[in-house]
Amino acid sequence: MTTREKILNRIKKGVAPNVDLPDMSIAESWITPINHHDLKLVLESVGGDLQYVDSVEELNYKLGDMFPESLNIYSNVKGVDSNFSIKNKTAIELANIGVAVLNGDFIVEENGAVFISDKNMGLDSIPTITEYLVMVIPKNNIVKTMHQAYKQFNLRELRYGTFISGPSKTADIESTLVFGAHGAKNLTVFMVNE
Amino acid sequence: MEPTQAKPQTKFNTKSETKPKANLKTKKIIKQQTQTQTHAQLAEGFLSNQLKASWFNKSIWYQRDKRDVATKKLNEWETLRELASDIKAHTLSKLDEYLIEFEEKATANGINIHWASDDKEHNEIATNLLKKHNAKKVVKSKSMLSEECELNHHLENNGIEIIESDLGERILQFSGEKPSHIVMPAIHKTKEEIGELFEEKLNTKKSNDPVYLTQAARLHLREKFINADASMSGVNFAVAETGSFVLCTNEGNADLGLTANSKLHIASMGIEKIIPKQEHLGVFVRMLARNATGQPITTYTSHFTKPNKGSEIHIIIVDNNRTKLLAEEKFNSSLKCIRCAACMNTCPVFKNSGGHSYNFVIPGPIGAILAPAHDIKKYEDMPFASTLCGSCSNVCPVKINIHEQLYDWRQEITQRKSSFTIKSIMMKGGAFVLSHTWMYRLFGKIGGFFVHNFRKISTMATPWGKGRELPDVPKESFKDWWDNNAKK
Ligand code: SF4
Repeated sequence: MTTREKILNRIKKGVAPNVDLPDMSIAESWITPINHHDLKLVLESVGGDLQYVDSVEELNYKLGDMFPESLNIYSNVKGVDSNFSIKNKTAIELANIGVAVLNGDFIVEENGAVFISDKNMGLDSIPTITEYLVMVIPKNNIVKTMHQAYKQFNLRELRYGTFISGPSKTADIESTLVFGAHGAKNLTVFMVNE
Repeated sequence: MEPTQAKPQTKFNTKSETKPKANLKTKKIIKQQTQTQTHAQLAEGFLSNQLKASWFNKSIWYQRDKRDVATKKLNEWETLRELASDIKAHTLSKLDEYLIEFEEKATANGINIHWASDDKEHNEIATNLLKKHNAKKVVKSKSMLSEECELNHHLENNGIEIIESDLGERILQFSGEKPSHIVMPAIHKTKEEIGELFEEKLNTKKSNDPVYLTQAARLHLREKFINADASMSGVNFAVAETGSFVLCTNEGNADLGLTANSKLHIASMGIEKIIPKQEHLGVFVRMLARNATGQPITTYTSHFTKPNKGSEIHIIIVDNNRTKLLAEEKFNSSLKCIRCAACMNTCPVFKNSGGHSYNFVIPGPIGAILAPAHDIKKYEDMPFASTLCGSCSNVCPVKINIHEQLYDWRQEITQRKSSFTIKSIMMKGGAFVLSHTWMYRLFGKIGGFFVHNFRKISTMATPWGKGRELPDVPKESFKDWWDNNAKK
């Protein structure tokens, strides 16, 4: 008998009581948690920042203000210029990305998390390997809760996708919150008028 | 993972401290710990440094506080708990079906599935995969299952360098300690201790500034990520209907480990990590971080369905006594656990005895009910490390009746134990009294007298009775009252 069969047989001897799967439709009526209506405040509470812009021109202008040109900037957002190509780069070279400007799929109101699927990442490592992360989202791509969030995409059609809520953080040293543990040290979300 | 929202408060080196630094070290105590020491003995060691013990108590309570604030913001919190509990309970009753479904879907997605009966088999599978890929440097994100299997030790013996990438875990790898908490593995260490450790291991300057130390670790571990041949992780949730697995971290170390350079990823999961559907993730993801650290979600909640081009993903599905637990009617609901750590953050015993006082890999109330299922003899004292106050059950997001199971394990252990210990004599004594009516009545009357006069006796003998209110004792015992009134 293989280990697989042995384990499955042992599971059959289990005596967990039968319980029906609950009806999940109740979750559809749930709305954003108390005090979570201001997306900017929510994002700030997890260490990020949120800005609204009317056009890509305005976005470019703001980015120019935020980041010096000396940084390596990678962007796959239409109309936002890169000065860094990711083609044929080794992991060591990719670790030199200063700013990544990426399209996010949508944002979740209850926790400020931006969902980004692999097709929007450029390379899988870019959202975490960059020093500073900028995500650009069409203004109307907002859902209220995680229940709605999981209805926006099908895991089956995804290779890799992640919710990112604020910059990378740790509190492993005496419970003191520090940003920039391993992933991006800073996260700005731009909501753009389409 | 590691977590949180605001700056914590605890300044450890206060001026009132009489003996600084040297006094703060518990390293010695921890190193002395052996499997033969009981929870009570280890707790005594922990408490011998009162200053540090009280600091630890506050750090843990801080987590509980943040949790309360976050969960109170959701009006539907209690409904979420019910959903979570039902989803997990349902899955446990059809675990074989869901595991098979998961295997089918994951395999179709190009993920390789392996099965391991125990820790040994798990470690062998992992080692063989790494050897086959000629992987010499492996980065690993936090996985309690790999701790349970003592994987690192096994890999090192096979000449494979395994690097813990979670900051807390890396600190412990440097100091040669085990995690004392399942969400904040190094919560027992002060920043001074970590500063000294980094000076020695990373050549940092003398500092106890968490920002400086975290940056030093970031640079050190970046170098490891971009040179890693392979990566490893646990699994937070595995979705049967899609064959995907989900990892939750705050640091981003799991994502960076998988994506920076690694061409081989090995994820280890206990059989109980399965949930049936994608839509169920919403329930658990909403609860996990809120209940663990008070965050509305972990910084990274990452979903992996297929390997990238040129890479491989392997999942090892591990039993290691979980099926044994599944066959225990009174105890199998402990397999619903999602490892949020809220039960330990709220536990008065955990707060006052430290995570290292539990001999099992998972400390606190949940550890105390999981451990005896692994080895009832070895961990026989664990269910006794509790006041049975029930706070653990109240905060548990999947509604495990933890305190009732603690009580039930005590009964089981006393019954199953062959040796004649004091405890069992006392239990038997109690049973004898209860089974002899006359003796029961007599003891009831003696007890009544004692409690009536306890205030005097206790304050004379010890300071314990001071400031404590004793309940008023009825003039009649319940038995007498019943005889005199109810039967009329
Ligand atoms: S038993 Fe419940 S409260 Fe404790 S870690 Fe598990 S899920 Fe969290």
